[in-house]
Amino acid sequence: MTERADKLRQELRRGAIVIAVLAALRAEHYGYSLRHALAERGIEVEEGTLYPLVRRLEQQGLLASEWREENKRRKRFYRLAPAGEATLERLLDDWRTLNLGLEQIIGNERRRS
Amino acid sequence: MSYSVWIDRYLGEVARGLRGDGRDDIVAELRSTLEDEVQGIAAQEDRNPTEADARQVLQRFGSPSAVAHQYSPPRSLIGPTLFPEYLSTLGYLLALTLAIRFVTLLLGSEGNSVYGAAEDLLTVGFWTLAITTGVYAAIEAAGDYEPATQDWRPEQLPEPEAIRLQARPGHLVSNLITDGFFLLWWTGAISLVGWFGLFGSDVRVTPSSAWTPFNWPLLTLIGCSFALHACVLLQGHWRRWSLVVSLSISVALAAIGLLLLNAGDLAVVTGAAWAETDPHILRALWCSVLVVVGFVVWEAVWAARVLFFRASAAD
Repeated sequence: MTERADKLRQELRRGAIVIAVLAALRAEHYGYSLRHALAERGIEVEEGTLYPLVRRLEQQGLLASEWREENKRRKRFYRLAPAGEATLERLLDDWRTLNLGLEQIIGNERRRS
Repeated sequence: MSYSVWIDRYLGEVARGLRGDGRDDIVAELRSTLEDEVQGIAAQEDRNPTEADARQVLQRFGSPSAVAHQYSPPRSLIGPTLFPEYLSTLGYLLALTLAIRFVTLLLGSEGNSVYGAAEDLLTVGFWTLAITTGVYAAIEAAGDYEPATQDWRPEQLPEPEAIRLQARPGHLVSNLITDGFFLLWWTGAISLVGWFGLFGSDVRVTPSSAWTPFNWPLLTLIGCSFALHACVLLQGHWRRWSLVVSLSISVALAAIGLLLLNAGDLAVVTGAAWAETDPHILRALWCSVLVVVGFVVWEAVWAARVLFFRASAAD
């Protein structure tokens, strides 16, 4: 893949990962379990991208977090905050609209060829 | 060596790149996550975590400076990928350009005022900052830069002893500034006359004979101190020899300071308005030397703690 295409792919993934993280955090997770929950659904996110992103979303008030002990170790658990719920709904609406339009464009192209 | 030592070394480096109140919280969360990741690898093979597991996880996380900048507030001009290299380049260029200008001021003996010299150094610093930032902003805008941090390997992490000896840039820079201005003043490259304009336009203050025996010792000691702090700033950490030199310089300076404080008047004040300002100027000068002695004693205690009691150089 060319470098330009690689950058476009990164841009495309960036927004999608935010939606995936918000959606996955409808259930409570800590960092490691969140990364694995996403990976199990085919969404591989680099550690250096995912963990700072989760923290930024928390600082923006979209996620709530608390430190708790599990297996004798303290972990920070994240969950979608009410503001995050509303934001996720809006993002999902946009995503579905875009996806629908995209499918129609791709479908038309396929029929023409 | 336990696998957790690798995590400690890594987090020590990440913490260096973090600022603000959230630093401890980010480091604690990263520690928890890194341990989860390492133990996750070991659990897949039903064994205890090893150093190799830790190195594998750290390799995936990437360079500590890049991780630290991912956690930093977003920068619109230069992004987190490029920022660590920008900062490093800027540091080297500032040290180089300011050192060159400083030496030319020193050698030139131009007799500038303190304000003139400060303005001169600030101008050099400003243009270095502006040009470097402009170049990196252009590289960021072009968007085709592969940072050296992508070649990062966990083996590049400093040893635990080196972490203990990591230098605080603020500490070094404040020493460089005070040493630098003393050298400029002592060699006559700048003049303090303008400072006493507040007391009267015709007041002149010159060092008394009490300073004469210490002329060359002070110049040598402060010159060595300046060179030492510049060297440590470029290396990023202290070494045993540099701590020994720092301790020796501080003890020698403290001794000279104490001798000066007991040597009577430290300056000769002349001018028509001297009668009303003389005691104030001499008292202020004596207090200044006392403050400097306190500062160098503190420096000596700090170096001794790091050298002999294994305290962290960053404390």
